[in-house]
Amino acid sequence: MKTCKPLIQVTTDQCIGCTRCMRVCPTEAIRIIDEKAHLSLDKCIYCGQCVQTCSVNAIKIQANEKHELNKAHYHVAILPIAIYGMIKNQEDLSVIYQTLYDLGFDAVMDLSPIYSVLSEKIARYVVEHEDNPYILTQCPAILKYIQLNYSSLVTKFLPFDFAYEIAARFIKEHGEKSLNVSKDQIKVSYITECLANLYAIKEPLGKSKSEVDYVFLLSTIFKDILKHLDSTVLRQLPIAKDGILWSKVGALRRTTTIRDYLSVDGISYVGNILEKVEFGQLDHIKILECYSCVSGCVGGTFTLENAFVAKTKVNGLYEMLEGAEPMICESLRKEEQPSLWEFEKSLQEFVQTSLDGDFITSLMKLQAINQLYEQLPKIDCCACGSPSCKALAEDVITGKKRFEDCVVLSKNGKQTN
Amino acid sequence: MDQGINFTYKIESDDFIRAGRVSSEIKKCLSQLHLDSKLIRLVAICAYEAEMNLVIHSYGGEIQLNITNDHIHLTSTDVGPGIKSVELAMKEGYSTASEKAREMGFGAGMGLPNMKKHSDIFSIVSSIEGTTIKMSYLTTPFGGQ
Repeated sequence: MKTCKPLIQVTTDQCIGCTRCMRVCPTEAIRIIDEKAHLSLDKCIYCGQCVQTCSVNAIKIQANEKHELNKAHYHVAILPIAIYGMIKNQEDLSVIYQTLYDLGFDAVMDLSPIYSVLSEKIARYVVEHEDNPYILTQCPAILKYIQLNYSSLVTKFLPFDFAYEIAARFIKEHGEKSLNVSKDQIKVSYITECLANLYAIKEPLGKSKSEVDYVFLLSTIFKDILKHLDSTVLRQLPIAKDGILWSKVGALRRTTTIRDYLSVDGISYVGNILEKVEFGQLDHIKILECYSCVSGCVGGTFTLENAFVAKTKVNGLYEMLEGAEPMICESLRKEEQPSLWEFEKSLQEFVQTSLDGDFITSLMKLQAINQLYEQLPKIDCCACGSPSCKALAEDVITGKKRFEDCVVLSKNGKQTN
Repeated sequence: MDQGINFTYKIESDDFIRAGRVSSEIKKCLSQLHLDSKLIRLVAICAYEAEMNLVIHSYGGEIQLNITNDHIHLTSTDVGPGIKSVELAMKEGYSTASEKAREMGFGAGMGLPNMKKHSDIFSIVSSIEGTTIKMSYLTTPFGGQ
Protein backbone atom coordinates (compact mmCIF):
# COMPACT_ATOMS: atom_id res chain seq x y z
CA MET A 1 0.00 0.00 0.00
CA LYS A 2 2.12 2.81 -1.28
CA THR A 3 0.80 6.27 -0.59
CA CYS A 4 0.99 8.89 -3.28
CA LYS A 5 1.87 11.62 -0.84
CA PRO A 6 5.20 11.27 0.98
CA LEU A 7 4.91 10.17 4.61
CA ILE A 8 6.69 13.26 5.77
CA GLN A 9 6.45 16.61 4.09
CA VAL A 10 7.45 20.20 4.65
CA THR A 11 4.56 22.65 4.47
CA THR A 12 6.29 25.47 2.67
CA ASP A 13 3.71 28.08 3.74
CA GLN A 14 4.60 27.47 7.35
CA CYS A 15 8.35 26.88 7.05
CA ILE A 16 10.40 29.92 8.06
CA GLY A 17 13.75 28.46 6.92
CA CYS A 18 15.25 28.60 10.41
CA THR A 19 17.74 25.69 9.88
CA ARG A 20 16.77 23.96 13.15
CA CYS A 21 15.58 20.74 11.45
CA MET A 22 18.64 20.68 9.20
CA ARG A 23 20.98 20.88 12.17
CA VAL A 24 19.43 17.91 13.99
CA CYS A 25 19.12 15.64 10.97
CA PRO A 26 21.54 12.71 11.50
CA THR A 27 21.88 11.92 7.80
CA GLU A 28 22.14 15.49 6.44
CA ALA A 29 18.96 14.89 4.44
CA ILE A 30 17.73 18.49 4.77
CA ARG A 31 18.81 21.65 2.96
CA ILE A 32 17.37 25.15 3.15
CA ILE A 33 16.79 26.50 -0.33
CA ASP A 34 15.17 29.91 -0.83
CA GLU A 35 14.39 30.04 2.87
CA LYS A 36 12.44 26.79 2.87
CA ALA A 37 13.45 23.36 4.15
CA HIS A 38 13.80 20.64 1.51
CA LEU A 39 13.90 17.01 2.52
CA SER A 40 15.63 14.27 0.49
CA LEU A 41 13.54 11.22 1.24
CA ASP A 42 16.16 8.80 -0.06
CA LYS A 43 18.42 9.90 2.78
CA CYS A 44 15.66 10.20 5.39
CA ILE A 45 15.66 7.50 8.08
CA TYR A 46 12.34 8.68 9.55
CA CYS A 47 13.79 9.22 13.02
CA GLY A 48 11.44 12.16 13.61
CA GLN A 49 14.15 14.51 14.92
CA CYS A 50 13.09 17.26 12.52
CA VAL A 51 9.41 16.87 13.41
CA GLN A 52 10.17 17.25 17.10
CA THR A 53 12.52 20.17 16.55
CA CYS A 54 10.41 22.28 14.19
CA SER A 55 9.26 25.37 16.06
CA VAL A 56 6.45 26.24 13.66
CA ASN A 57 5.02 22.76 13.13
CA ALA A 58 5.79 22.84 9.41
CA ILE A 59 6.79 19.19 9.00
CA LYS A 60 3.67 17.11 8.54
CA ILE A 61 3.10 13.37 8.83
CA GLN A 62 0.86 11.44 6.48
CA ALA A 63 -1.03 8.68 8.34
CA ASN A 64 -4.48 7.07 8.30
CA GLU A 65 -7.45 8.87 9.78
CA LYS A 66 -9.55 7.16 12.43
CA HIS A 67 -12.86 7.24 10.55
CA GLU A 68 -11.54 4.97 7.80
CA LEU A 69 -12.59 1.75 9.59
CA ASN A 70 -14.91 -0.15 7.26
CA LYS A 71 -17.71 -1.95 9.13
CA ALA A 72 -17.61 -4.93 6.75
CA HIS A 73 -14.19 -5.97 8.07
CA TYR A 74 -12.99 -7.44 11.33
CA HIS A 75 -10.62 -4.84 12.79
CA VAL A 76 -7.78 -5.66 15.13
CA ALA A 77 -5.71 -2.91 16.72
CA ILE A 78 -2.13 -3.58 17.79
CA LEU A 79 -0.96 -1.39 20.65
CA PRO A 80 2.64 -0.20 20.57
CA ILE A 81 4.95 -1.40 23.34
CA ALA A 82 5.52 2.27 24.25
CA ILE A 83 2.01 2.29 25.72
CA TYR A 84 3.57 0.93 28.93
CA GLY A 85 5.27 4.24 29.44
CA MET A 86 1.87 5.93 29.55
CA ILE A 87 -0.04 3.78 32.04
CA LYS A 88 0.33 3.04 35.74
CA ASN A 89 -1.46 -0.30 36.08
CA GLN A 90 -3.46 -3.02 34.34
CA GLU A 91 -6.70 -1.12 34.88
CA ASP A 92 -5.36 1.80 32.85
CA LEU A 93 -4.78 -0.63 30.01
CA SER A 94 -8.47 -1.54 30.04
CA VAL A 95 -9.31 2.13 29.47
CA ILE A 96 -7.20 2.07 26.33
CA TYR A 97 -8.81 -1.19 25.17
CA GLN A 98 -12.30 0.26 25.69
CA THR A 99 -11.33 3.41 23.80
CA LEU A 100 -10.29 1.31 20.82
CA TYR A 101 -13.48 -0.81 20.95
CA ASP A 102 -15.52 2.38 20.89
CA LEU A 103 -13.55 3.63 17.92
CA GLY A 104 -14.76 0.56 16.00
CA PHE A 105 -12.10 -2.06 16.62
CA ASP A 106 -13.31 -5.62 17.23
CA ALA A 107 -10.21 -6.78 19.06
CA VAL A 108 -7.04 -5.34 20.56
CA MET A 109 -3.65 -6.97 20.96
CA ASP A 110 -0.75 -5.70 23.01
CA LEU A 111 2.83 -6.53 22.13
CA SER A 112 4.12 -7.67 25.52
CA PRO A 113 3.60 -11.42 24.83
CA ILE A 114 5.36 -11.16 21.46
CA TYR A 115 8.36 -9.43 23.02
CA SER A 116 8.43 -11.84 25.91
CA VAL A 117 8.79 -14.81 23.56
CA LEU A 118 11.07 -12.87 21.22
CA SER A 119 13.55 -12.38 24.11
CA GLU A 120 13.83 -16.15 24.43
CA LYS A 121 14.31 -16.58 20.69
CA ILE A 122 17.06 -13.94 20.57
CA ALA A 123 18.86 -15.46 23.54
CA ARG A 124 18.84 -18.84 21.79
CA TYR A 125 19.95 -17.36 18.48
CA VAL A 126 23.06 -15.65 19.82
CA VAL A 127 24.15 -18.78 21.65
CA GLU A 128 23.78 -20.87 18.51
CA HIS A 129 25.53 -18.41 16.17
CA GLU A 130 28.97 -16.86 16.40
CA ASP A 131 29.20 -14.01 13.93
CA ASN A 132 28.75 -11.36 16.64
CA PRO A 133 28.18 -8.55 17.36
CA TYR A 134 24.55 -9.03 16.34
CA ILE A 135 22.45 -5.94 15.86
CA LEU A 136 18.95 -5.91 17.25
CA THR A 137 16.30 -5.18 14.64
CA GLN A 138 13.38 -3.53 16.40
CA CYS A 139 14.00 0.11 15.45
CA PRO A 140 13.36 0.71 11.72
CA ALA A 141 15.14 4.08 11.82
CA ILE A 142 18.32 2.34 12.99
CA LEU A 143 17.98 -0.29 10.27
CA LYS A 144 17.80 2.34 7.54
CA TYR A 145 20.60 4.35 9.19
CA ILE A 146 22.84 1.28 8.98
CA GLN A 147 21.71 0.39 5.45
CA LEU A 148 22.66 3.90 4.36
CA ASN A 149 25.68 4.95 6.40
CA TYR A 150 27.19 1.82 7.96
CA SER A 151 26.37 -0.56 5.17
CA SER A 152 29.17 -3.05 5.86
CA LEU A 153 27.17 -3.98 8.99
CA VAL A 154 24.03 -5.24 7.20
CA THR A 155 25.28 -8.78 7.67
CA LYS A 156 25.16 -8.26 11.44
CA PHE A 157 21.39 -7.84 11.68
CA LEU A 158 19.44 -10.41 13.67
CA PRO A 159 16.85 -12.12 11.44
CA PHE A 160 13.84 -11.16 13.59
CA ASP A 161 11.14 -8.92 12.19
CA PHE A 162 9.47 -6.03 14.04
CA ALA A 163 7.19 -7.21 16.87
CA TYR A 164 4.06 -5.64 15.33
CA GLU A 165 4.70 -7.44 12.04
CA ILE A 166 4.99 -10.74 13.92
CA ALA A 167 1.75 -9.87 15.74
CA ALA A 168 -0.04 -8.97 12.50
CA ARG A 169 0.95 -12.27 10.87
CA PHE A 170 -0.09 -14.18 13.99
CA ILE A 171 -3.47 -12.41 14.11
CA LYS A 172 -4.21 -13.16 10.46
CA GLU A 173 -3.20 -16.83 10.73
CA HIS A 174 -5.08 -17.47 13.95
CA GLY A 175 -8.00 -15.16 13.37
CA GLU A 176 -9.08 -17.34 10.50
CA LYS A 177 -9.27 -20.41 12.72
CA SER A 178 -10.56 -18.97 15.99
CA LEU A 179 -12.82 -16.15 14.79
CA ASN A 180 -14.26 -17.86 11.77
CA VAL A 181 -13.55 -14.92 9.48
CA SER A 182 -11.56 -15.21 6.28
CA LYS A 183 -8.01 -13.90 6.25
CA ASP A 184 -8.74 -10.95 3.98
CA GLN A 185 -11.69 -9.92 6.12
CA ILE A 186 -9.28 -9.26 8.98
CA LYS A 187 -7.73 -5.80 8.93
CA VAL A 188 -4.87 -5.07 11.25
CA SER A 189 -4.12 -1.54 12.43
CA TYR A 190 -0.99 -0.48 14.24
CA ILE A 191 -1.21 2.43 16.63
CA THR A 192 2.30 3.74 16.14
CA GLU A 193 4.45 5.54 18.69
CA CYS A 194 6.92 6.77 16.10
CA LEU A 195 7.45 7.84 12.54
CA ALA A 196 9.93 5.04 11.77
CA ASN A 197 7.31 2.33 12.27
CA LEU A 198 4.91 4.20 10.01
CA TYR A 199 7.62 4.26 7.36
CA ALA A 200 8.51 0.58 7.82
CA ILE A 201 4.87 -0.40 7.30
CA LYS A 202 4.27 1.81 4.26
CA GLU A 203 7.58 0.96 2.63
CA PRO A 204 8.26 -2.54 3.98
CA LEU A 205 11.78 -3.40 5.12
CA GLY A 206 12.89 -7.00 4.67
CA LYS A 207 9.62 -8.14 3.10
CA SER A 208 7.55 -7.50 0.01
CA LYS A 209 4.39 -6.57 1.89
CA SER A 210 3.48 -5.58 5.43
CA GLU A 211 0.58 -7.45 7.06
CA VAL A 212 -0.40 -4.22 8.82
CA ASP A 213 -3.22 -2.61 6.84
CA TYR A 214 -3.62 0.73 8.59
CA VAL A 215 -1.43 2.93 10.74
CA PHE A 216 -2.72 5.46 13.26
CA LEU A 217 -0.60 7.82 15.29
CA LEU A 218 -0.73 7.13 19.02
CA SER A 219 -1.08 10.85 19.69
CA THR A 220 -4.34 11.04 17.72
CA ILE A 221 -6.19 8.59 19.99
CA PHE A 222 -5.09 10.33 23.17
CA LYS A 223 -8.11 12.62 23.33
CA ASP A 224 -10.39 9.60 23.04
CA ILE A 225 -8.52 7.86 25.85
CA LEU A 226 -9.06 10.86 28.11
CA LYS A 227 -12.79 10.75 27.41
CA HIS A 228 -12.91 7.14 28.58
CA LEU A 229 -11.08 7.64 31.82
CA ASP A 230 -14.20 7.91 33.95
CA SER A 231 -16.70 5.86 31.96
CA THR A 232 -14.77 2.62 31.49
CA VAL A 233 -15.42 -0.46 33.61
CA LEU A 234 -11.95 -1.22 34.89
CA ARG A 235 -10.64 -4.73 34.42
CA GLN A 236 -7.28 -6.35 35.09
CA LEU A 237 -5.88 -7.25 31.70
CA PRO A 238 -3.16 -9.87 31.35
CA ILE A 239 0.27 -8.46 30.52
CA ALA A 240 3.47 -10.39 29.83
CA LYS A 241 5.74 -9.00 32.51
CA ASP A 242 9.07 -9.41 30.73
CA GLY A 243 7.63 -8.10 27.49
CA ILE A 244 6.87 -4.62 28.78
CA LEU A 245 10.56 -3.97 29.40
CA TRP A 246 10.96 -3.73 25.63
CA SER A 247 9.27 -0.35 25.74
CA LYS A 248 12.58 1.07 26.88
CA VAL A 249 16.22 0.51 26.11
CA GLY A 250 18.05 -2.41 27.75
CA ALA A 251 15.27 -5.01 27.93
CA LEU A 252 17.51 -7.98 27.19
CA ARG A 253 19.65 -7.28 30.23
CA ARG A 254 16.71 -8.11 32.47
CA THR A 255 14.98 -10.76 30.37
CA THR A 256 17.94 -12.90 29.30
CA THR A 257 21.32 -13.98 30.62
CA ILE A 258 23.23 -12.61 27.63
CA ARG A 259 26.55 -11.08 28.67
CA ASP A 260 28.50 -8.54 26.64
CA TYR A 261 25.37 -6.68 25.70
CA LEU A 262 25.64 -3.07 24.62
CA SER A 263 22.73 -0.64 24.43
CA VAL A 264 22.71 2.85 23.01
CA ASP A 265 19.75 5.19 22.67
CA GLY A 266 19.43 8.56 20.98
CA ILE A 267 20.35 8.79 17.31
CA SER A 268 23.17 11.29 17.89
CA TYR A 269 25.05 8.69 19.98
CA VAL A 270 24.31 5.70 17.78
CA GLY A 271 26.65 6.71 14.94
CA ASN A 272 29.70 6.66 17.17
CA ILE A 273 29.02 3.14 18.35
CA LEU A 274 28.28 1.85 14.85
CA GLU A 275 31.57 3.33 13.74
CA LYS A 276 33.37 1.46 16.50
CA VAL A 277 31.75 -1.75 15.28
CA GLU A 278 32.90 -0.99 11.73
CA PHE A 279 36.44 -0.36 12.98
CA GLY A 280 36.38 -3.81 14.56
CA GLN A 281 36.62 -2.43 18.09
CA LEU A 282 33.52 -4.15 19.47
CA ASP A 283 33.94 -7.69 18.21
CA HIS A 284 33.63 -9.04 21.76
CA ILE A 285 30.07 -7.68 22.06
CA LYS A 286 27.39 -10.33 21.61
CA ILE A 287 24.39 -8.08 21.00
CA LEU A 288 24.20 -4.44 20.08
CA GLU A 289 20.92 -2.69 20.73
CA CYS A 290 20.38 0.74 19.20
CA TYR A 291 17.35 2.98 19.39
CA SER A 292 16.91 6.18 17.49
CA CYS A 293 14.82 7.70 20.30
CA VAL A 294 16.19 8.60 23.70
CA SER A 295 15.18 5.87 26.20
CA GLY A 296 13.96 3.58 23.40
CA CYS A 297 10.37 3.29 22.15
CA VAL A 298 8.89 5.24 25.07
CA GLY A 299 10.76 8.22 23.61
CA GLY A 300 8.85 7.99 20.29
CA THR A 301 7.61 11.17 18.60
CA PHE A 302 3.93 10.34 19.15
CA THR A 303 4.04 9.16 22.75
CA LEU A 304 2.63 11.70 25.12
CA GLU A 305 4.81 11.10 28.12
CA ASN A 306 8.27 12.49 28.63
CA ALA A 307 10.72 9.67 27.87
CA PHE A 308 12.35 9.73 31.29
CA VAL A 309 9.07 9.83 33.19
CA ALA A 310 7.88 6.99 30.95
CA LYS A 311 10.89 4.88 31.87
CA THR A 312 10.04 5.24 35.56
CA LYS A 313 6.45 4.25 34.85
CA VAL A 314 7.56 1.12 33.06
CA ASN A 315 9.79 0.17 35.99
CA GLY A 316 6.95 0.76 38.44
CA LEU A 317 4.57 -1.35 36.41
CA TYR A 318 7.16 -4.10 36.08
CA GLU A 319 7.62 -4.31 39.84
CA MET A 320 3.90 -4.40 40.42
CA LEU A 321 3.01 -7.12 37.92
CA GLU A 322 2.70 -10.73 38.99
CA GLY A 323 4.79 -13.31 37.16
CA ALA A 324 1.86 -15.17 35.60
CA GLU A 325 1.97 -14.76 31.83
CA PRO A 326 -0.98 -14.48 29.45
CA MET A 327 -2.08 -17.72 27.74
CA ILE A 328 -1.10 -16.39 24.34
CA CYS A 329 2.61 -16.73 25.24
CA GLU A 330 2.34 -20.52 25.15
CA SER A 331 0.63 -20.45 21.74
CA LEU A 332 3.38 -18.16 20.46
CA ARG A 333 6.09 -20.49 21.72
CA LYS A 334 4.55 -23.34 19.76
CA GLU A 335 4.82 -21.33 16.55
CA GLU A 336 8.35 -22.08 15.56
CA GLN A 337 8.18 -21.44 11.82
CA PRO A 338 10.66 -18.73 10.76
CA SER A 339 8.05 -17.22 8.43
CA LEU A 340 6.24 -15.89 11.49
CA TRP A 341 9.23 -14.46 13.35
CA GLU A 342 11.79 -13.54 10.76
CA PHE A 343 12.20 -11.12 7.87
CA GLU A 344 11.19 -12.63 4.56
CA LYS A 345 14.44 -11.52 2.94
CA SER A 346 17.69 -10.26 4.42
CA LEU A 347 18.18 -6.52 4.67
CA GLN A 348 20.51 -5.18 2.00
CA GLU A 349 22.63 -2.05 1.94
CA PHE A 350 21.21 1.02 0.24
CA VAL A 351 23.43 2.28 -2.50
CA GLN A 352 24.41 5.83 -1.58
CA THR A 353 24.67 8.13 -4.53
CA SER A 354 28.37 8.72 -5.01
CA LEU A 355 29.73 12.00 -6.33
CA ASP A 356 29.76 10.64 -9.86
CA GLY A 357 29.01 7.36 -11.63
CA ASP A 358 32.56 7.35 -12.96
CA PHE A 359 35.20 6.55 -10.35
CA ILE A 360 37.88 8.92 -11.66
CA THR A 361 35.41 11.80 -11.97
CA SER A 362 34.14 11.20 -8.46
CA LEU A 363 37.72 11.21 -7.24
CA MET A 364 38.35 14.57 -8.88
CA LYS A 365 35.17 15.95 -7.39
CA LEU A 366 36.27 14.74 -3.97
CA GLN A 367 39.50 16.66 -4.39
CA ALA A 368 37.62 19.75 -5.52
CA ILE A 369 35.38 19.52 -2.46
CA ASN A 370 38.39 19.46 -0.17
CA GLN A 371 40.02 22.42 -1.90
CA LEU A 372 36.79 24.38 -1.63
CA TYR A 373 36.35 23.41 2.00
CA GLU A 374 39.75 24.91 2.79
CA GLN A 375 38.45 28.32 1.65
CA LEU A 376 35.32 28.16 3.81
CA PRO A 377 35.26 29.55 7.39
CA LYS A 378 34.76 26.06 8.95
CA ILE A 379 32.45 27.34 11.66
CA ASP A 380 29.42 25.29 10.55
CA CYS A 381 27.02 28.17 11.14
CA CYS A 382 24.46 26.65 8.72
CA ALA A 383 23.32 30.09 7.53
CA CYS A 384 24.02 29.09 3.91
CA GLY A 385 21.35 26.40 4.16
CA SER A 386 23.72 23.43 4.26
CA PRO A 387 24.32 21.56 7.53
CA SER A 388 28.10 22.20 7.69
CA CYS A 389 30.88 23.91 5.75
CA LYS A 390 31.90 20.50 4.43
CA ALA A 391 28.34 19.88 3.26
CA LEU A 392 28.28 23.28 1.53
CA ALA A 393 31.49 22.38 -0.30
CA GLU A 394 29.85 19.14 -1.44
CA ASP A 395 26.67 20.93 -2.45
CA VAL A 396 28.62 23.48 -4.52
CA ILE A 397 30.57 20.79 -6.36
CA THR A 398 27.43 18.72 -7.01
CA GLY A 399 25.63 21.83 -8.25
CA LYS A 400 23.04 22.17 -5.49
CA LYS A 401 24.42 25.39 -4.00
CA ARG A 402 26.69 28.26 -4.90
CA PHE A 403 29.91 29.31 -3.21
CA GLU A 404 28.36 32.77 -2.74
CA ASP A 405 25.77 31.18 -0.45
CA CYS A 406 28.37 31.33 2.33
CA VAL A 407 27.04 34.17 4.45
CA VAL A 408 30.22 34.64 6.46
CA LEU A 409 32.46 35.12 3.42
CA SER A 410 29.91 37.43 1.76
CA LYS A 411 29.71 39.56 4.88
CA ASN A 412 33.47 39.86 5.15
CA GLY A 413 33.78 40.59 1.45
CA LYS A 414 36.44 37.91 1.17
CA GLN A 415 34.96 36.16 -1.80
CA THR A 416 37.20 35.96 -4.78
CA ASN A 417 34.86 34.47 -7.37
CA MET B 1 45.17 10.97 -12.39
CA ASP B 2 48.11 8.52 -12.42
CA GLN B 3 49.35 9.87 -9.10
CA GLY B 4 45.85 9.89 -7.71
CA ILE B 5 44.78 12.31 -5.01
CA ASN B 6 46.17 12.71 -1.52
CA PHE B 7 44.71 13.53 1.84
CA THR B 8 46.97 14.11 4.81
CA TYR B 9 45.85 13.97 8.42
CA LYS B 10 48.06 15.09 11.32
CA ILE B 11 47.87 13.10 14.52
CA GLU B 12 49.20 14.31 17.84
CA SER B 13 50.74 12.10 20.46
CA ASP B 14 48.53 11.36 23.49
CA ASP B 15 45.49 12.96 21.84
CA PHE B 16 43.11 10.35 23.26
CA ILE B 17 40.16 12.72 23.26
CA ARG B 18 40.03 13.07 19.49
CA ALA B 19 41.36 9.60 18.68
CA GLY B 20 39.28 7.96 15.99
CA ARG B 21 38.38 11.15 14.13
CA VAL B 22 40.89 10.66 11.36
CA SER B 23 39.68 7.14 10.60
CA SER B 24 36.17 8.51 10.62
CA GLU B 25 37.18 11.18 8.07
CA ILE B 26 38.87 8.58 5.91
CA LYS B 27 35.78 6.41 5.95
CA LYS B 28 33.59 9.37 4.95
CA CYS B 29 35.95 10.22 2.10
CA LEU B 30 35.86 6.70 0.68
CA SER B 31 32.09 6.44 1.10
CA GLN B 32 31.64 9.18 -1.48
CA LEU B 33 33.48 7.21 -4.13
CA HIS B 34 31.03 4.39 -4.74
CA LEU B 35 33.39 1.69 -3.53
CA ASP B 36 32.43 -1.68 -2.11
CA SER B 37 31.47 -1.24 1.53
CA LYS B 38 33.54 -4.26 2.57
CA LEU B 39 36.66 -2.64 1.13
CA ILE B 40 35.88 0.64 2.87
CA ARG B 41 35.57 -1.24 6.13
CA LEU B 42 38.99 -2.88 5.66
CA VAL B 43 40.66 0.48 5.06
CA ALA B 44 38.79 1.99 8.01
CA ILE B 45 39.92 -0.77 10.38
CA CYS B 46 43.56 -0.26 9.35
CA ALA B 47 43.27 3.52 9.57
CA TYR B 48 41.87 3.18 13.07
CA GLU B 49 44.64 0.87 14.24
CA ALA B 50 47.27 3.14 12.72
CA GLU B 51 45.70 6.22 14.27
CA MET B 52 45.57 4.62 17.72
CA ASN B 53 49.18 3.50 17.42
CA LEU B 54 50.25 7.05 16.60
CA VAL B 55 48.31 8.44 19.56
CA ILE B 56 49.52 5.82 22.04
CA HIS B 57 53.09 5.03 21.00
CA SER B 58 54.51 7.79 18.80
CA TYR B 59 55.77 11.32 19.36
CA GLY B 60 53.20 12.35 16.77
CA GLY B 61 52.87 11.77 13.05
CA GLU B 62 50.49 11.67 10.15
CA ILE B 63 48.35 9.37 8.07
CA GLN B 64 48.29 9.83 4.35
CA LEU B 65 45.50 8.53 2.18
CA ASN B 66 46.29 8.19 -1.50
CA ILE B 67 43.60 7.11 -3.94
CA THR B 68 44.47 6.23 -7.53
CA ASN B 69 42.27 4.75 -10.22
CA ASP B 70 42.98 1.19 -9.08
CA HIS B 71 44.53 1.38 -5.61
CA ILE B 72 44.11 2.86 -2.18
CA HIS B 73 47.33 3.47 -0.26
CA LEU B 74 47.37 4.21 3.43
CA THR B 75 50.66 5.41 4.92
CA SER B 76 51.35 6.06 8.57
CA THR B 77 54.54 7.94 9.44
CA ASP B 78 55.79 9.23 12.75
CA VAL B 79 58.84 10.96 14.20
CA GLY B 80 59.79 8.25 16.66
CA PRO B 81 60.61 6.65 19.01
CA GLY B 82 60.50 3.57 16.74
CA ILE B 83 59.63 -0.04 17.45
CA LYS B 84 62.35 -2.00 19.23
CA SER B 85 61.57 -5.32 17.61
CA VAL B 86 59.29 -5.24 14.59
CA GLU B 87 59.32 -9.03 14.53
CA LEU B 88 57.89 -9.22 18.05
CA ALA B 89 55.42 -6.40 17.41
CA MET B 90 54.00 -8.31 14.48
CA LYS B 91 53.10 -11.26 16.74
CA GLU B 92 49.44 -11.45 17.73
CA GLY B 93 49.00 -10.60 21.38
CA TYR B 94 52.50 -9.14 21.83
CA SER B 95 52.23 -5.80 23.52
CA THR B 96 54.47 -3.32 25.24
CA ALA B 97 51.50 -1.80 27.02
CA SER B 98 51.41 -2.00 30.80
CA GLU B 99 48.96 -4.21 32.67
CA LYS B 100 46.99 -1.07 33.57
CA ALA B 101 46.72 0.15 29.98
CA ARG B 102 45.54 -3.28 28.90
CA GLU B 103 42.86 -3.29 31.55
CA MET B 104 41.62 -0.02 30.09
CA GLY B 105 41.30 -1.70 26.71
CA PHE B 106 44.45 -0.34 25.12
CA GLY B 107 47.39 -2.31 23.80
CA ALA B 108 45.82 -5.70 23.17
CA GLY B 109 48.78 -6.44 20.92
CA MET B 110 46.61 -6.76 17.84
CA GLY B 111 47.31 -3.44 16.10
CA LEU B 112 50.02 -4.38 13.62
CA PRO B 113 48.78 -7.95 13.00
CA ASN B 114 45.32 -6.51 12.34
CA MET B 115 46.69 -4.01 9.82
CA LYS B 116 48.54 -6.78 8.02
CA LYS B 117 45.50 -9.05 8.05
CA HIS B 118 43.19 -6.40 6.64
CA SER B 119 45.38 -5.05 3.82
CA ASP B 120 46.49 -6.52 0.47
CA ILE B 121 50.08 -5.29 0.74
CA PHE B 122 51.70 -4.41 4.05
CA SER B 123 55.16 -3.12 4.87
CA ILE B 124 56.78 -1.64 7.94
CA VAL B 125 60.11 0.10 8.46
CA SER B 126 61.16 1.33 11.87
CA SER B 127 64.13 3.08 13.43
CA ILE B 128 64.58 5.49 16.34
CA GLU B 129 63.87 8.33 13.90
CA GLY B 130 60.43 6.98 13.26
CA THR B 131 58.21 4.29 11.84
CA THR B 132 56.60 4.10 8.41
CA ILE B 133 53.81 1.65 7.74
CA LYS B 134 52.44 1.25 4.22
CA MET B 135 49.24 -0.53 3.42
CA SER B 136 47.72 -0.97 -0.03
CA TYR B 137 44.42 -2.22 -1.34
CA LEU B 138 43.23 -3.07 -4.79
CA THR B 139 40.04 -1.10 -5.36
CA THR B 140 36.90 -2.97 -6.22
CA PRO B 141 34.05 -0.93 -7.62
CA PHE B 142 30.74 -1.13 -5.82
CA GLY B 143 29.20 -4.62 -5.83
CA GLY B 144 32.30 -6.17 -7.40
CA GLN B 145 34.58 -8.60 -5.69
